[in-house]
Amino acid sequence: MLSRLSLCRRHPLCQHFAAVVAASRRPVATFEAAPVAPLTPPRQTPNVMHGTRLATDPRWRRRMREDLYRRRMLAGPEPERPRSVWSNWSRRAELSAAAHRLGLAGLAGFSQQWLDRVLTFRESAEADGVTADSPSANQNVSKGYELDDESSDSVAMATPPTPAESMPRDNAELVPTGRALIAEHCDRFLARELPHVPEDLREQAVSLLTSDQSLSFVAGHLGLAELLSGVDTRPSMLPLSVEADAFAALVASAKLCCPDVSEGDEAAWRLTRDFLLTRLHNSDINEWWTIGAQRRLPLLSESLAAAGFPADEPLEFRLMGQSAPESPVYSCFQVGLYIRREFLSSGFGETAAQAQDECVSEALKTLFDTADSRAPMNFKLTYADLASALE
Amino acid sequence: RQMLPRVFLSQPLQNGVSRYTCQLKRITLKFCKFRPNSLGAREFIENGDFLEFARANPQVACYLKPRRNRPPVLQAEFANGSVQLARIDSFPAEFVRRWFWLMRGRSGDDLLPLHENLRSFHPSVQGVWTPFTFGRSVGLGDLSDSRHRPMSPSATELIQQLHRLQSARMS
Repeated sequence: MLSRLSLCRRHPLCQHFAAVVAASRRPVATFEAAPVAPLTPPRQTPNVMHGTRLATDPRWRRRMREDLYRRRMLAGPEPERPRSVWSNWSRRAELSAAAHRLGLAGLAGFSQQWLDRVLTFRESAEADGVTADSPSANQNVSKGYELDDESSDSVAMATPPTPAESMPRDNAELVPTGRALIAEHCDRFLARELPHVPEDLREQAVSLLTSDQSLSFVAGHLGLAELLSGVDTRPSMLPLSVEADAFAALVASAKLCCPDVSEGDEAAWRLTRDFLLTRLHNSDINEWWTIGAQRRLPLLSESLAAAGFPADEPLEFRLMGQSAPESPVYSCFQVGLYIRREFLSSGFGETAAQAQDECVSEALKTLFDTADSRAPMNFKLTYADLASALE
Repeated sequence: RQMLPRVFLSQPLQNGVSRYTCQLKRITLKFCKFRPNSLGAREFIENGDFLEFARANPQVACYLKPRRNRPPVLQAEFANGSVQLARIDSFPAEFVRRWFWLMRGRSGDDLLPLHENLRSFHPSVQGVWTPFTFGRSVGLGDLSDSRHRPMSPSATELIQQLHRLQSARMS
């Protein structure tokens, strides 16, 4: 016995209705780009009945709703498109908003065109200009009407735009300058805030901070990923290094656009400090580097020597306390580290060996001043303070 | 029954630690030019409140999107990539204005119940309590009526046994 629904689907009236709906469907925002392999629907229909039953609907409408839902799920997800293809996008407005969001709108010499060039990546060597097929073509076309409100623009960016000759065409030169500047800022800040930490550990922390992943995380949260031009800004096609380069170019531009050197240094430093270095806040600084198991005791000896203890003083590990030593679950050992009969640190563990390892880690934290009880980092430092501290 | 997950307090990119950045990137007011449920949205635009918001917040890109035969909606896009939709169907203009200014203050994180209203990565100032914090060396097996007895006698117990044997021999 054929079900009523299958009869309905095959009914010519029903098929005609479906065709009419398909023809009248409004075209969604399209993005003509390199062809991507179409997503194939799953072999078996997934269980899509959840949330489709509405008790107030009559039975025929319920079944139609379930059928439409099943067809939509079989059609697969929406194609990935950059934000700029939708009609509520105006590159001019977005750049202006980004400039204000980043606090760069008040800088002398900073303009919207400058920000546009900073976020423009040079396209492939073959294409010498923006062609109709390139991904950036869509972005530069403004859809809809733009409110030509001169008053808001004049309030926002009081200075006239820099002449076109001096402005770079893209950010190719800014990226390496920016990367070097960011690395320098991070190194100086950590050297100032963590003076007792050895250089190799500090370098590990700096390399983690300035890695592509870290910089692209910052760039994404500042909204730079959507504003890039010259690259495909779809999240799956945008590599991390490109986003990281965008942030680096921004930092370099903040320094270079100001005619006053100190103002430019301060602006670039503030971008690094407020967006990148604050990642250290509310995180255990000891997680930003790894000390290998073989390196621990030699590092401890070196740090003690640097702290003023002579090298031939023996390190004494003493069992300070233990609880339920035979129990496999409740055992707790406390080991203390003594040098020159003075207490240095203590550690806990399920076995005495673990407690000893923990003891060494705690001793290192005490010597490096990276324990939980240390003062919080100062994120209100100015560039002048930073530069003067090292002299 | 589905339960909402609980989250901890957090700010995207540690916003506010050294500088505050408005997390709202762009806001779109979608409305119909004819239908009565968009009346509040239309009044909001015509009274100049929309322009006032746009001028007071240059860091937010404001868009208007007239759509025929659709209910009015406020679409707010935040710096962390999230998009929030506020249905302003038949709202008065004042309520639309309040939604605009509310979105301006949001971080874009999902509205989920919190574990606690505060969060600290250093909850203990003096150090977390351990069984040995106050100089105790008492463990689970040390109490006489404890069920968790160690297998071998402790040094104290050995001495006590010796003392008992000795006093039994003496008496």
